[in-house]
Amino acid sequence: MSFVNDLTLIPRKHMIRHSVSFLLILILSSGCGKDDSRQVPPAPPQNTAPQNPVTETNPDILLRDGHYELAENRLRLLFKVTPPEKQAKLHYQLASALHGQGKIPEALVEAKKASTLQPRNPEVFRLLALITFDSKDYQESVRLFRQAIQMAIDFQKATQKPVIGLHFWRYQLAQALIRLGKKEEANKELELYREHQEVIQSIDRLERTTAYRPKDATAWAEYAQALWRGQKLPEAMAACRTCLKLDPMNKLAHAVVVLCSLDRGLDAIPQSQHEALKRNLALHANQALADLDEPLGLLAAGRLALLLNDRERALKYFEKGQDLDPKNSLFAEWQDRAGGQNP
Amino acid sequence: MRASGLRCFQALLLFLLSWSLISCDKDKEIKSTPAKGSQPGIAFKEVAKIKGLDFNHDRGATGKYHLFETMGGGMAWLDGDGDGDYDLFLPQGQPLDDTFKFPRAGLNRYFRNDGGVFTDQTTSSGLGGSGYGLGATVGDVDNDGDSDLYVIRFGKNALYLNDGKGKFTQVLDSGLEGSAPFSGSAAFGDFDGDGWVDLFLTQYVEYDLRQAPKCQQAPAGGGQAVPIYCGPITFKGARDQIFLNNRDGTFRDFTEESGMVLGGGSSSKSLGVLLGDFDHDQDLDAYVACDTTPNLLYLNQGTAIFKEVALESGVAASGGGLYEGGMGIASGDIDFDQRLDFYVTNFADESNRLYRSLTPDIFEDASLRLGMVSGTKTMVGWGTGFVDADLDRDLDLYVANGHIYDNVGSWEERQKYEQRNLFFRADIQGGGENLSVKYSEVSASLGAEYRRPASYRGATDVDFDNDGDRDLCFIPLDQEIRLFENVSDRSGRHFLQILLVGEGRGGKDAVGARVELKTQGGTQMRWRTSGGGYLSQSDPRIHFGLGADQKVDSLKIYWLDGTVEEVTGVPVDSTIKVQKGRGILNH
Repeated sequence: MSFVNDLTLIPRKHMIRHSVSFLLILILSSGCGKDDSRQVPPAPPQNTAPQNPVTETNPDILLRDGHYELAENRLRLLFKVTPPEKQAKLHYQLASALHGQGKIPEALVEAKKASTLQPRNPEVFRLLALITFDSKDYQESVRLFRQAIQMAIDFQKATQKPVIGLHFWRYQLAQALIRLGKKEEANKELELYREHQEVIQSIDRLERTTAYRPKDATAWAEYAQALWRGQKLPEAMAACRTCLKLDPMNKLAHAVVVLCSLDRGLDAIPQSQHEALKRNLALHANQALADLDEPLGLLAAGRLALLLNDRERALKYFEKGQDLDPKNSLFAEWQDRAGGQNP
Repeated sequence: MRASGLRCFQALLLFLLSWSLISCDKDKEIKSTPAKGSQPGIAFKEVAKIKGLDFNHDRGATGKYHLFETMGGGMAWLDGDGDGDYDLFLPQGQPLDDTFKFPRAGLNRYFRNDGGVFTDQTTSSGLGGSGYGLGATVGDVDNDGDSDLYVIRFGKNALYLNDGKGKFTQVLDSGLEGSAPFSGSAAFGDFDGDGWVDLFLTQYVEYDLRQAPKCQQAPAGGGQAVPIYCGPITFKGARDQIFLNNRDGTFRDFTEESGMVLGGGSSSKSLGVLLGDFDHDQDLDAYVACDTTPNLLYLNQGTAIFKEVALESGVAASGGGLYEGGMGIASGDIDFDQRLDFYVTNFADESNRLYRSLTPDIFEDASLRLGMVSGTKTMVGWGTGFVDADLDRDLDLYVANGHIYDNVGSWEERQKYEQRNLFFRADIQGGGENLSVKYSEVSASLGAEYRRPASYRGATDVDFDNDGDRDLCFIPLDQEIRLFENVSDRSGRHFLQILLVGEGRGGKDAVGARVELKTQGGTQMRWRTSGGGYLSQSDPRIHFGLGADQKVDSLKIYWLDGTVEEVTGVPVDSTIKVQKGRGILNH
């Protein structure tokens, strides 16, 4: 089965929510370095022994390891030997080094210079927003975080490359909103952030579980589900295949197969194969629906029914699914899409 | 020419003489005055053996890489025999045998303290115990005025009641065994306000000895993968628990009713826990450090019903939103704004976090700004606590470090299993509304013994010799205990130490009370907390450094039931016992 990256069946709001686990390391065109402890990914091993005097001179590594003062000194030297037109990254790094030392006013100056030199770089605007936050100008910080997030989303759309850690920016935006007393807006951002975090952590944990328990069909099914939630659809399908080899009747895996296929969309395959695909999905959906006790099976069957224009059946499945899993907002969303009552 | 040459020679001699004098001065300065400027010198001397503490921790590593083998090493200070000297309980590990049992008994240690000298009283105390000891906490469970002990073990935990003379009896079927085998920490406090202490028990991960996962790690540059401890990400989180006191030596599980299940506590990977009245609303709240899941802040709604608010309060994650490897917790009012600030130790490649309270329910991650990131990014932090080591009124900070992977150096060159402990000296800047505090990591000036690398876990502060300053104690895995006597230069500086004895709401331990001290130098606030650190309990007495102030202008106790008691006739340079409604009992 071949897929294309078409998420047309997913509502936009939902797509954003679930897109986070596509995240891969984004190397922005300007090549900004990692800044401070707020960055996410664990660093690769380097030859900097933590209990010995620091001999490292690479500012990126100095910043990563929290040697902000050394990084500042090194960067000031680099400014002297770098032509002005190539100093954009240095300004960004220097802002990070100063910020790391709590030198907020100086960091702000450098971050502003960096943003002037790289007006399309969302990471630079995020750093500027962070420093502005620490300077307690929360109004401006909210504006800058929103600008950075929008720039990142635009960048993702334009390049199909994800911006790593975008949900962390939402967390930071939420903190700025809380300082302004805008708790409702903050909670919306925190909810998105929390869901992204959960998905990422589930994938991480289940990846390890399936590694040490490769014959555990349930673990593979849960892994497939987590990957689907993170919209890693090919990986989710692969996990389903492994699961169904171990346990051909696994309801969750059958449900994930249907959901992945529906998320990919029929456009992914030639028109001539649409009917065959629908029949195949119906078989999977029937397996997923056995005993009507698997919420995701009900979601999958409901969505398939909707595709087959059986709205009444779809609504029935969504309602039943919501009864089984009241916390899952997807059932309400799909009831809305099906035009039914959203309790 | 000759005269000119002589002048040159004289000049050279003068220069060399001056230089040698300057150099000598420098050496002296480094030895005796580690702090800069006019700051008094902070200094510690390792005295464990000299003082009679003969204890070698054993994590019981079997080569099977069970996660609990690298997580223990707590301790608890308690005045077991009521003589005013703080005694020490030390839980011990041991190897798991092939039948999944811990075969040896009597391995824990209890050292009685008499005037600052310890003797092993394990047998007579009845605290030798069994199983695999991880940590301990202390509380007056039966309201009889002495300190009882709760031992955290891998498997079932154990409660011991004290007869007041330092003889303990295990309570079988106390209801406090814990639902999961792998508890993270525990703390006693009165959550429902009935005057009897309850228990908050954090649970780390679900762990099945028979089906424990196996993990491996290959060196970054390629090569043979080596077995390692599976980190928390491999496991499902477990549910924290709260137990209410039945007032008869037994407890009931109140977790479902408490609302904790609705918060993140149902699947968190919880380790350190701290109890106190954080929002000053006369009930006991809880802050929990979690490992790769969000930290939890449970605000009590008055009767052990909790609302979890860590995320919106800004203490769930780093300032950037990262869920970090939370281990231990320190707390104190670092900036004299009468609000409690938190410090959480984290894993390597993260950094420890200082959450500064802006309002009772909003905190900022002030780690970077206050200079507290330096030195922590390559460390794995565990036990920690704020102390005023040099009695200059501000709160310094100690941090125990050590990696969990005993072979980390073979696949991660930047990391070491054995790490050094850190010490941050506080430095007040400005005054009044412009007062701020900045921290400097000064362990380099504390001598080689303090910096001796090991894989430390538990860390506590205690005035074991009752001389009015806080000493430090660290447990390194598989090594001898380290007790650091505080020998800081305290000339011209004064202290006040207070043991609170409650009545009614809050119980005899008075956890949740606050103490406000006014002297010429200003106002200081301390909280009677419970738990804190990592798997350990520090000296429960409230400790104030007074700087040069020789007189107490005002001492107020805010008891947990809302009563505000002004204590008069407070002597400085004393340890006093204050009982609710009765003022100073003795000093």
